[in-house]
Amino acid sequence: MEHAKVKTSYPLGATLRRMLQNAARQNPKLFLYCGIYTVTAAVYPFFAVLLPKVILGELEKGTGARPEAVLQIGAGFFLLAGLFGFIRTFLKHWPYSKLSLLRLDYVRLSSVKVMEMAYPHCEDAAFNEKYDKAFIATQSNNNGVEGIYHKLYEMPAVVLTVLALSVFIGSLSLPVLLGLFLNLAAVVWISRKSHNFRYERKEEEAKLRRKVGYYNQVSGDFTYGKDIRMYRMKQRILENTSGEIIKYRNLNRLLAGKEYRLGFVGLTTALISDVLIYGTLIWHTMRGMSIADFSMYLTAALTLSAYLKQMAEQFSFVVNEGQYVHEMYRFLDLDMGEKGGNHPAIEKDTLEVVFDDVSFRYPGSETYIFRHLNLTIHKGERLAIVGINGAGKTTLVKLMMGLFDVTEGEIRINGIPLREFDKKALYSMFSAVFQDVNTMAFTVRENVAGCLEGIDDKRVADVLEQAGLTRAVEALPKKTEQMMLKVIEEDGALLSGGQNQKLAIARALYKDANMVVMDEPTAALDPLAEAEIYENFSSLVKGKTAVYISHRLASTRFCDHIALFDKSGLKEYGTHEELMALRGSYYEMFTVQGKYYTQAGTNSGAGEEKRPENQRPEGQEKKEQGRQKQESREAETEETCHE
Amino acid sequence: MNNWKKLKLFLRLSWKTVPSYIVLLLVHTLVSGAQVALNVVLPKFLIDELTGGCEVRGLLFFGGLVVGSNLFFAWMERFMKRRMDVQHTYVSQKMEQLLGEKVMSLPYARLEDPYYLDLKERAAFAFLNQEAMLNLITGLAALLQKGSTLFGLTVILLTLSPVLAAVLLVLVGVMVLLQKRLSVELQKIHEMILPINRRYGYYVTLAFSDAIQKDIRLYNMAGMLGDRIDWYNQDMTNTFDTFRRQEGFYMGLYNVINDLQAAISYGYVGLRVVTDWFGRRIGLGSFTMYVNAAVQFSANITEFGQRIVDLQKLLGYLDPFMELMELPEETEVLEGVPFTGPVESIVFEKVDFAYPGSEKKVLDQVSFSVKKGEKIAVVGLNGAGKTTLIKLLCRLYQPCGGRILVNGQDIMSYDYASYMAQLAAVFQDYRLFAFTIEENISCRETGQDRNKVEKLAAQVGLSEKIKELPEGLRTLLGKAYDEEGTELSGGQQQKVAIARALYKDASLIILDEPTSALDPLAEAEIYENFNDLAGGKTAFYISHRMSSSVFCDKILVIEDGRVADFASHEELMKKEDGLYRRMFQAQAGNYV
Repeated sequence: MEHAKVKTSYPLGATLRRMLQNAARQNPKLFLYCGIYTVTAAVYPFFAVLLPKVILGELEKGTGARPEAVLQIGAGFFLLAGLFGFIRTFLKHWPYSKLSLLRLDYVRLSSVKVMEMAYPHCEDAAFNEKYDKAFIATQSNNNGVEGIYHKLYEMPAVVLTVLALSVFIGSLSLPVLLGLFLNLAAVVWISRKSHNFRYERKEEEAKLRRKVGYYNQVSGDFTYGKDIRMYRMKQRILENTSGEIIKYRNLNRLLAGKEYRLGFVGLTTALISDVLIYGTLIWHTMRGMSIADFSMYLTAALTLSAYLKQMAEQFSFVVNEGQYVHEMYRFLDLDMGEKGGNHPAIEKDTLEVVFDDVSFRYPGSETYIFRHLNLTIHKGERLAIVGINGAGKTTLVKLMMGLFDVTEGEIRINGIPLREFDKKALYSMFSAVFQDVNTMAFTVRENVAGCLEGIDDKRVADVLEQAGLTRAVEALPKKTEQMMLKVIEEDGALLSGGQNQKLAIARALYKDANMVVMDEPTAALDPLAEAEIYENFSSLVKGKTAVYISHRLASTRFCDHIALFDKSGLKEYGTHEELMALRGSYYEMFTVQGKYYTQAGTNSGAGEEKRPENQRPEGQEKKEQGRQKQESREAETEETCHE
Repeated sequence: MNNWKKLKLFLRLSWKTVPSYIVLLLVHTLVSGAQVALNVVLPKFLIDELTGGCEVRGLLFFGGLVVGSNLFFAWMERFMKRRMDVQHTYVSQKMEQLLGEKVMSLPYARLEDPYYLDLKERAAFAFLNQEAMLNLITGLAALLQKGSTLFGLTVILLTLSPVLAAVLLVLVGVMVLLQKRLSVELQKIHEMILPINRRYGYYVTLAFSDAIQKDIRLYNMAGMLGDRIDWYNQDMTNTFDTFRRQEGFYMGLYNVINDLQAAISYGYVGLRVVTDWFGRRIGLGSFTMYVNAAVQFSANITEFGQRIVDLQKLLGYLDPFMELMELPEETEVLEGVPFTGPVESIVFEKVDFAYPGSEKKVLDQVSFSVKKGEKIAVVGLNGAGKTTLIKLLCRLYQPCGGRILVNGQDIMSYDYASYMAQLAAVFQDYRLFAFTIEENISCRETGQDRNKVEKLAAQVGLSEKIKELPEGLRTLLGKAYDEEGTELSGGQQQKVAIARALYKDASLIILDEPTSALDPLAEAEIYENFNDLAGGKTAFYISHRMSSSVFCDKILVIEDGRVADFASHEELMKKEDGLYRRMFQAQAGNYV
């Protein structure tokens, strides 16, 4: 019953067929290797079964036995077994890495899937848990896909040997054969039973594993080092880890105990099988069967028993691990919203984005981030989006760029509903710069272009110039060919925070998309570097619609309109002057943030009490000074890069 | 480190953490030895009975004995497996815990050294993808088992013929040479594959990492990463392929020698039956026994050899783990006079500092002094050395030159723990733990000093959020430990970290960019309350928001690792060309 249920819970046949088809497509030679391996490996055990029979046959002749015959038999065995054994062993090891490659290729496919699936999956906290099994399938050499490939490679030989030995023994005594198969059935049953028992506790196990894993991660993570020392967390963490490990051990004890108890069934059948083998053989010998035959059949029965066990293990391994492979195929086949609609990207025009009565809550969440939001970002306009943390500023741009879908209402880009766009086309229309810059271990030019081939180097040079990075890049030993980060090449280059942000801007410039989005790009930068990014902004957005998100208000100075969000959504909208006149939230935030600058300025006597207009020229001057300083600072970072 | 030393260290660690495991391992080994001896010896009596008297009672007895011993050992095996399975995982997890304990006990300076970061990652690798630790533990158990089996078989063979045993051992010697060859190849491959594997791991992890997914979509980089992964797939396969071919060849030869051993055994023992060339003739029962012993010997020695190769490979994977475990710990290094506090004065005397392995001076002749209760803002451009200065004060690093005096004494002369007890810091990259909010603030078990926790939570502006949470202060932070945990926003986490620093009964408090994730209103609130919050404590405050320095008594301006200025806001604003004024105006310009 149990057995049948598990077998039908996923399509084993289809899974294996697909695996074989994949192997045939990737490397058809594997089937040739496997064929030769199967023949040699299936024949090989018979030498060991026949040798005692042949030799004992000679020995039983008593005084008539010829010593040279004994030696000939030994030599003959050596030649045959040696040859077959060598081929078998060689072909068992050699294709190993070719089979590994089949798994590695699935790792690649899974990673591409992750990188292309609709974005909400990436922020789904339960994602890993949901597709855990699919990823386990490619985790190591010994399980999942690769584990099964190795088994499939070895199994035909085992099955052939089992068949031949079965016929051999069955012809002597059916009960012995039945005893062996009874024992096999018990082994399989126990394995399934305990596997299912374990499977039912999979979640519990995953939870415990996660907890142990959390503590191991925290204690081993160097970035926790300061706080662990400063707040003396070491003892606490160690005690908690011990506690979790004990809980995990208790679960393992439960599982092992179950398997142990089930094992008594196996012991019983093993006893029956043994009694049948020895009983039958002794009985036959008493009735005149030769010792040579006794020995041969005994060896054959023991060999068969071992091979049956091996076959059963391989079989249940394939059935058990196949589940993970099936999950992997399911994951790879799943429509995870990579495509979107069919509308191509808008060409040679900047964008107008209309939020029409948009409501949104994150998948699985009850709380609405926006309700009935109406907002138009006009063509060529520079819009500053400001507001406190948690007001949904970033969510807004995620909706706009199609990373998330609206819950209700509609977003239109140049009059076309956003959901009609092909996802890739949609992404291609935005040049975005985020707060957390992710420079990757690729060369400078690859980082800027976002691809490995077909890079327009002239353009790379241009955008580096525009982003103010040329000098820093020229200072690198391999210029734009320089590998970034230390992880791949030890002499890789590390940029400062400001330079990394400029690299991100260069990337956005290279992309030259229809619209520009800046999401808190200066949060981690010092005031002078920040001022410089602000200056870059205008070259980045030339003639394009642009959105600049910030919880600082400085951005409002170079934007046409300001949209202020708070927890209830869009609260105020207008120009700086309009919103200041409104004396609402914007006014409050602006004054609170600026208070100490203006006050302090006043106190120092060097400051200015008057309001905007006559102030601006002087502000401009300050920026000039800032830029000069910036240059000398870059000269200094060049040295760092040389190291 | 050679393999013996590594194995010894491993066993020592196991003995220290899970002594019962070592006992179990020994019992398991002995049982296996006994099992094989019985398996080989008992059939002899059965065959002797068959060829001799063929009495029903005798046959039943010996047949029953064979079957009975099989049954007993089958049970024994399951009995041992039950315990071994549990212990294997347990020991592996305990070892990982030891690794964590070690990291938490290392002198902090090591934690910022890329060499040790790399070492730790390689060490942790043994527990992750390769499960090297678990395989080592199970492999070691199997090796010992095989060893004792071989011992039993050798004893049996010696009773027949030391010559046969010697011949078989010579062949074993040849096999060992083959293994040796192979393990040299393996070592070579290992050295080649490690860096490739690490790079491959980087790209795969990157492709799966959440943080990068926005960039990947918007800059259409899935292809670029996919190609890179593919490239490494091929590279790894090609590297391994060479090795596997050699492995196939050597293991094939190994197999041939194995068959030679069987042929020699059968031939020799057969001759002992039909001739008296090598000594007294033996019966068919003995023939079976000795042949079985010899064949089993060959089979077991093959596996034994395989296990040794595996073990060497695994010990190779464990190299970084072992290296890390051997590093000296902090407490062993640092001892001194207890610091009773509170902090009365801090003096930097011509402090120089360069990071280990670097020539570049991050701090250069830094001198200044601070009195009890003063609030000091530390400002400067990115990379000027502000955070380094703080790290030195926290004794996370030692100055390369000059001294830091607290209450007139060099801080390095104080006992580490008592000195740290007087310091509380919110670092730029502070970390919270997956405990309750309350525990994160108090850094103790729940329920102690709840009033103080509540008061601080209110002061940093967390009360509103805490009220929203069904479990209030007892809400578990983060989802990494438990699904049911709550993720706080960056700003809220920062507030928890600030409350934690304030909770600690320290007389010096350090805040490194504590408000970068806070919105303007929350930020203003922290600034305005900060003097109240810090009370009479001496405080250092690093921030890129220049407005925050207005609240401080004095401002320490760091430029290229040197003290550019150390004065009040008013005085610094008078310096037309000063860095401070320029930075201040760059931001102020946006608000006027």
